[in-house]
Amino acid sequence: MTDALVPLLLTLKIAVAATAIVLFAGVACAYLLGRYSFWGSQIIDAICTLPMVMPPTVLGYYLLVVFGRRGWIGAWLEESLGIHLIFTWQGAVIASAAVAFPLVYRAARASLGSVDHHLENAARVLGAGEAKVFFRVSLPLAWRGVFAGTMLAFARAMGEFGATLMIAGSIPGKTQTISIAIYEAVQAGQDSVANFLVLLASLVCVCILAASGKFLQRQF
Amino acid sequence: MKLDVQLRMRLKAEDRLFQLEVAFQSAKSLIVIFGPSGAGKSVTIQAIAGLIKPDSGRIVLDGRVLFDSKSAVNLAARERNVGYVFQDYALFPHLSVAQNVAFPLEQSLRNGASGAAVEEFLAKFDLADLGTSYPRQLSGGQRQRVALARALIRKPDILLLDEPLAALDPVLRGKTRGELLKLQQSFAVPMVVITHDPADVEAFAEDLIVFDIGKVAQQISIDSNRRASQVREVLGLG
Repeated sequence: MTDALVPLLLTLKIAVAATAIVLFAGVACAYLLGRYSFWGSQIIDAICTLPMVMPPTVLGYYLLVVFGRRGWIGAWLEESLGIHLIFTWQGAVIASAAVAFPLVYRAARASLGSVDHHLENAARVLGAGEAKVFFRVSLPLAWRGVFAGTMLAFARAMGEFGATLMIAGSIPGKTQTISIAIYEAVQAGQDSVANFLVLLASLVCVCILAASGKFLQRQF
Repeated sequence: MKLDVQLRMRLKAEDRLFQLEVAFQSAKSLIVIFGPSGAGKSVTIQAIAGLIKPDSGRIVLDGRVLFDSKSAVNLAARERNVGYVFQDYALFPHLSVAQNVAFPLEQSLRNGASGAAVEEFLAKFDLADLGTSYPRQLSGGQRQRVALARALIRKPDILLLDEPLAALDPVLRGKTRGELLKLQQSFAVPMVVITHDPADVEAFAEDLIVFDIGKVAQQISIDSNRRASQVREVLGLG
């Protein structure tokens, strides 16, 4: 029983870290691309959305190319900082973050774009710099959309399978997340383990959805 | 106070092209810009406030250059020290009345601006009991007072009002005109009022600038002794 908690806790750890990364990166990209239009901004927008439509294994392959030992970033990380990401839980965080990123990005883009420009302009005339306009006006008015996107991203990161398997493999206790553990249990014919893990995963997902629904009901 | 505005700009809206070319000067403390909708009145005061960048021209307020295309001066809206009351008031819906009024005084990103000044302004604008209310809970007149308090708490060099009475019901308008005039005197702040209502022109104008589509049709100094008849004459109301 306690063995089953190991993949769950690992999954939560990976999903929380990945969600924190995509919340920051997704909102930052949505803000910059929504506010500044420059040559190539539409191409960057398409690239930011791409992981949503690409098969996770394809994305995992790209990540291997970039972060692998001989990859552009992977080789540099290994040589200069001694960090290697393949077959580590940090690698799984990168895989989950890449897959979940578009969910926050798209939600933030839509909700920041729908904030009344008059309100942002009113703040500017009242002496606010762009940082204050963003943190005191735009973001508080767009937070519902951003929050909903973040919850979806968390759920997506919890259920990540394909890209994680390609980058981090399936090392029990180290990189074996709950989805991968379920797959392995079914493959090995351990039905009771699989049943328990499936129930546990379902329960966690229901709790997260219920909690976020409750949170979203709050009015300002 | 002296306001000198010369600006040119081409605006594209959907498939329509709008050319604005206006120039006026005034040293009066109550300037009314009158004209039909779509004449470019709002665009003009948005350019004064720094919310729209003209293609070329010059905006000078009391010797302070806010915009000058020749010398590439274009102060950001936050540096112009201009008060602006939007037609729909643009109150921050997620902030309380007190937080809205305190917004210009906040030094950091966290709320908690200087309480005494805010209290004083809330009292002055008859909002003392509404400090913790939110904009959606207020009447039109109350919202306008919040917008005015928020604009004036920064002690702006000029106050720009975009159709300040349009969102109010007709009964309130007469009373509000009187209140705006009193405010103008007690804060000694010059005002530019946009309107398409001749009654506003009659109540406010010391200098009247009549806009036609994209240009200034005429500018008239109103003589306070024969204000009513002069306004009717100019606006062709017999």
